[in-house]
Amino acid sequence: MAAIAEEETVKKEDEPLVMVNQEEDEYDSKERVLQKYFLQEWNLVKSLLDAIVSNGRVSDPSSVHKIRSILDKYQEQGQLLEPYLESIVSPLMHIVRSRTIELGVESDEILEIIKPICIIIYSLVTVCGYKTVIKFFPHQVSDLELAVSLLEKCHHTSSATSLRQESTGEMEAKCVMLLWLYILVLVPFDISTVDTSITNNTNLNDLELTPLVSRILGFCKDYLSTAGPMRTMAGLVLSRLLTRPDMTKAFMRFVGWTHEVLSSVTEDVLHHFQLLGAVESLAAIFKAGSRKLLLDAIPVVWNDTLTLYKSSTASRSPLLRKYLMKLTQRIGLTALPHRLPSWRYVGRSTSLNVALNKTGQIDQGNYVVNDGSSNLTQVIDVSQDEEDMDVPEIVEEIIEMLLSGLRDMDTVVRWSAAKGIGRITSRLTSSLAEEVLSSVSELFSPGEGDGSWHGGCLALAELARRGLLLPASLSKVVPFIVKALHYDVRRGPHSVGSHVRDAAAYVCWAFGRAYYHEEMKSILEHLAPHLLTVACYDREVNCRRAAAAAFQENVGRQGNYPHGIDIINTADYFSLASRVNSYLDVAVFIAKYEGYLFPFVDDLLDRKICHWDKGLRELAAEALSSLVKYDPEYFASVVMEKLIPCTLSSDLCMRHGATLATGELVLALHKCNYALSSDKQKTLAGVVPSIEKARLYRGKGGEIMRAAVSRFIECISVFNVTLSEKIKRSLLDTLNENLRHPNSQIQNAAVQALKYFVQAYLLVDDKVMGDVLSKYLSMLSDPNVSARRGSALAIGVLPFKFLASRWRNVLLKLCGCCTIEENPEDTDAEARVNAVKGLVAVCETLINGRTDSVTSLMEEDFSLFLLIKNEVMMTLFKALDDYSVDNRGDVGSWVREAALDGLENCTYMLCKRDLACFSGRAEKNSTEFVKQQFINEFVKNNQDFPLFDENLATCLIGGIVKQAVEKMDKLREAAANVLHRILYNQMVYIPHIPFRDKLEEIVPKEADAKWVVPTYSYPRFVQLLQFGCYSRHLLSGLVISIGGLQDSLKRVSLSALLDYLQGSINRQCMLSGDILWILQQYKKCDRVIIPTLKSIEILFSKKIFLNLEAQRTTFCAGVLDSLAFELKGSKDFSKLYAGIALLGYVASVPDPINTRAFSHLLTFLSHRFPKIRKASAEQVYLVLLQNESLVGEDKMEKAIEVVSETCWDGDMDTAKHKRLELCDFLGLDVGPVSKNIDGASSKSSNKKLVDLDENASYSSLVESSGF
Amino acid sequence: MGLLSIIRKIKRKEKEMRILMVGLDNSGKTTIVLKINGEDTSVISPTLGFNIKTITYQKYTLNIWDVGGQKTIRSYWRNYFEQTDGLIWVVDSSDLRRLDDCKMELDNLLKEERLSGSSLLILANKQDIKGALTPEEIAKVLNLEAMDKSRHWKIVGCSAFTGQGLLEGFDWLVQDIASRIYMLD
Repeated sequence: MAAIAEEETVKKEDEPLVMVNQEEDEYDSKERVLQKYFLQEWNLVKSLLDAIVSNGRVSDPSSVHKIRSILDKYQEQGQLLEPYLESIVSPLMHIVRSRTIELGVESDEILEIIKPICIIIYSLVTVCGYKTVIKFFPHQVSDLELAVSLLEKCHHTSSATSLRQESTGEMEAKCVMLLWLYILVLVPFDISTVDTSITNNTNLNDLELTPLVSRILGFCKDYLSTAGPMRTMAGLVLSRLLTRPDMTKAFMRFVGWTHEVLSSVTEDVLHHFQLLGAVESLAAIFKAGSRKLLLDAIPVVWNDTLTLYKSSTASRSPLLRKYLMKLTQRIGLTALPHRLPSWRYVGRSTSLNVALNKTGQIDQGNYVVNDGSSNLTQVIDVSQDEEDMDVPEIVEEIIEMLLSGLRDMDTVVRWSAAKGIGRITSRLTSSLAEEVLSSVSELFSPGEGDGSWHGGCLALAELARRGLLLPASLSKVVPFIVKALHYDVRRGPHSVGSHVRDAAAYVCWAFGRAYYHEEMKSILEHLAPHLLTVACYDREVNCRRAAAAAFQENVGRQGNYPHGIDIINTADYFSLASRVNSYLDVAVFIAKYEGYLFPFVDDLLDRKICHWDKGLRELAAEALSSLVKYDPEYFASVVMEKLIPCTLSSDLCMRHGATLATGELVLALHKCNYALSSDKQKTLAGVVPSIEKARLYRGKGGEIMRAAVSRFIECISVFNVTLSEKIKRSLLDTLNENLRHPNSQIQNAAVQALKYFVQAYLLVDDKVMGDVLSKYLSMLSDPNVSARRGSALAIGVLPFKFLASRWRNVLLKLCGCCTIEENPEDTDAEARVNAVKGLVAVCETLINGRTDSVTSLMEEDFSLFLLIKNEVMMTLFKALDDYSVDNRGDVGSWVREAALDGLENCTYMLCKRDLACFSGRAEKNSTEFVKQQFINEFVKNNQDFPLFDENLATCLIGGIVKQAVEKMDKLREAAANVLHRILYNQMVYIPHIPFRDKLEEIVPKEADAKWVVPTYSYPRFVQLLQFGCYSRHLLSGLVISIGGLQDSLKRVSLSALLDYLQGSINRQCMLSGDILWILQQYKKCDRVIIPTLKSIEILFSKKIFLNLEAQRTTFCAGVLDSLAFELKGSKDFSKLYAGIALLGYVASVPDPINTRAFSHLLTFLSHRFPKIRKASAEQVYLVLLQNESLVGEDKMEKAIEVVSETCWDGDMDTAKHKRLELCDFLGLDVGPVSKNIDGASSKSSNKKLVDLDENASYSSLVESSGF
Repeated sequence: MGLLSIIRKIKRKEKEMRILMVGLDNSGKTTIVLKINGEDTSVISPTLGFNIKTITYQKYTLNIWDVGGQKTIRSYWRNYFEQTDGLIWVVDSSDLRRLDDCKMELDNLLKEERLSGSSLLILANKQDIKGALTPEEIAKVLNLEAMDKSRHWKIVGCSAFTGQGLLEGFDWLVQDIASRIYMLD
């Protein structure tokens, strides 16, 4: 609605201008529209059009496609194009016309000219509708023959493609020509005088049609049998042609033809189209023609229609039924004399302006007939009227058929039928209209399906809009409408009825428009709560909006409705778009006005708490609780009494919703400080035990119930409902059971509940506390992973009192759970994530608990912090290095993310403690210093051996920045944000961070968080490579990105690194050292080594390192050492490829070390994997070409020949032989190395094993390519 | 199709009006259309056939169908009756000889049931010419008072040459149509 309103205001703004000065301002407003909506495109379209016009044809076919693709964008908003239609259509049609005259219809060229033009015009037709477009078609008398000839010419062409984009315009040309004819047949001259062919053969037989008409009829009939849009258009042409005064003969013939078509129904597909075309054209003719002409045709046509409607063909084709409905109502309208019924209700026809303008006599026909007493004369008029009226027999049949159309299973048919009912009823007497209304009312009986309800609503709305539903009958239909507004029928796992509710809103909308305030007042009071209920609580957005629109229409037209404007302003088109917003904001706002609270509550209780959609039930429970504040007493008594029995309902949806709602209700009452009677508390306490007793956890709905029960326990715990010891135990058992449930949602709900439950009920008894803790501690090493996951979280929410005595034990045990489990069977990433979370939570509880309690011992206190520093932080650093993967992918990332948060929090804890110690001491010494100065002093002196020292700070920042340059977007962002928080923490300053100023430069304080964008983050973080303390951390993350699989990330991270290295020898040197460190550090760890090797390869290819003088040898030697180690026995293809490439690069270096690389490379010529042999051969070849000094010039040619001629990926023995040959005459000292590796393996393994290995190589290949 | 799309459609429909403009030949129909659209009216030839003009008037879009008035054409007027919201009958107030003709054609037109729902505006044109009858006199000659009671009608004197009276007439017509258009379809 708001969108529409907006549109209106836009238009209204234009009005005054238009009225002041017609000529200029209309132009002006056009310009404004142009600037507003059509902007640059209009200039483009205009220039393309100008080119077409000046050439007299489309010389560049692409311009047509350009125009069409621009126009297509306006499909939904065709009216925006209307100001331009004339300037597009007129010149184009002018070309069609003038070129046809110029070239003559006979020429073939003319078709080529008009087809592209018609594509443009037809796309306008699809966007704006044919009615608006054809107004700008030329319609001179002489054009008629022209158009007919052109269409005949097109008629036989056929389109080569059915794709719109490739269309060459055949179909479009036909459509445009038909539409042109549609307007041309209106020429007010006898067609026989227009037809030039008649003059040649003068004496025309009376029985014959004019040749021109025959031609039109001929191809129109053809088109009626097609499936395309031409069918409808041909029908339109016929409707105008045949209803001309000079066409009676042709009309009768055509009716005869349709009779043949309609009465000879076959199964043929083509015939089906013809059938559709015939019915459609008849409907159009009956719409356009005058009664006098049509009356004679009625008996035949109606008979056919009725038979066809009952046939099986119609029952299979909704489209046919729709056309039949159209035809039927038109026949009915023809059969009934045209009149405005005097009994019609004319409520809102007069605006003040018009009333003043009218002459007295005009108003007389418009009197309202509803209150009979004051208007006796009118009533008499009506009865006379009725006597005058004789209703043709077929009208009864027609109404019957339309009524059956209302319950059709297809929406389009119901729509057409509903309009028909409205139109026909407007010509009936009031008593007959009464009968129609009562028949429509029957559609709302319980036995009818949703289709009937929908059809019934549509019909009621149509009647109301036309003033045919008299206010006296309103009271009869309103109950149906109220029911329809809430219509919702379960169908298995979902429900139907949104279309009924929408249509019911339509009825309300029509009421608001049609009736006077006096009639509507009481009705609206009755309807408004229902409308607003739908507007707030309907599941479907279109129903919410429709109901709100209907309410708005009523408020706007009826005026003076209490709080109407406020409600409309809140419940507008946009605010209702989101279900959550409607439920929790809009509804709560409206409920504060009188008369809405109880209907809202009833709707939630009756329909939404037990809804089939789980999300909706949860939302409804929350919505219910948000209404509690308006009347706590009512909710505590009536609502709760209604809900509690439902928690044991046999319907899962009901008991789930009721359990949730009861819980939320208790919570809301608690927030209102409402005290529940002890009776009520007892009932509440009994809810969960009775659910358990009824065994409602089992079976299909068990999981759903478990989470709801946990939430319920949480709510009553917050309220602190009195519980007996027995129930406490039983609830604790319930929670414990849910804690070890494999479903994480249930687990989380249980943890959340436990948090409040222990605080409310378990803090009193030391023994219970001890038992609970012991239980969870033992669960930490449970073989069941779910138990481990749950218990870690549970310990995290236990209060200080539980943990105080055994804190050391708890912390150490949790630390143990954070590391990757030794037994590979037991590994579980979620358990570790939860352990990390639990660990940090316990640390926080302990520290907060200590500061709260006065009895804290300084000594023990300090040991706690030491433990956090030495054990907890170290554990978290280890967790930050959790790169475990399983079939879900990088599950370790969850642990790392949790560890990042944990490290951040622990850092704050330690720093706070440091600060507290220091300032405590400082206060004694010199109180006049400002705090900041203490800190500076403190940082500078650093004599106190603070908990959070420089070493820890370096590790922390290093760990974070490493995560900030790895391959997962989510983690990079999380890490950057953690870093940001640490640098700019408000509560406590984090000291000892090396190069803090540089970090602050990289991560600016007011960064508007674009850290997910790699092009933003990488160039910043690579700067840290210049600091020794961070460079290795950072690089070990960076190589993962550079050498990873993700192409875009690779590109961005690499270019960031290259930019950083640009021209700086120092930076390259440092980087080379760091890379060697990584190769050392992550030996045999393929996760890091492979990307590192790839990174080196890429850097080599960019000529990095190779130009370094001093460092090059060291670096190459380091790489070669590492390769010798890594490639040995490796089966990983990507690793081997990268290694071979590296060997190639090093072998090409002008440095003595190249020989070593080359000989290593040669060993791969006899590798057991054929692909590797081939790859290394290619590499050897390249090396030989590049590095001529490696072998003597004399041997070069021979060597190259051997390398290039041998089939390396063929037989193993040949390869081995060739390699030895190569080594031999190159005189390289490769013998021992190769013989040690390959010789040993080939000797010990027989031929079979080699085959096996080759098979293995393929599986390895598959793996390496990422499957 | 839900309520929101119905509303959208209706809002659009409400803004469009189809107006049929007829009258005897040389009564000034085409001139009136051109004048109200602000176009040049110096050279007008008899309308052979019909013209369609789309005019934005206030917040409405008027589709004016201006059909020629020659005797031979008159029998084809009914081709244009379909879905007419407003009927404008133009009278040459200075052409006293053909007033009987004019009355007869108007009576015929008003018998047409497809026009029964439309508002009727009678423009007594050419008031600028000396000797032209006043609108009241025309109303008497045409016997408008005897018209069917359910018809909304109004007679306005005007001059297509000066433009006087045209706005008044169109204002009434548009308002009258607007007041009932959304009730019907």
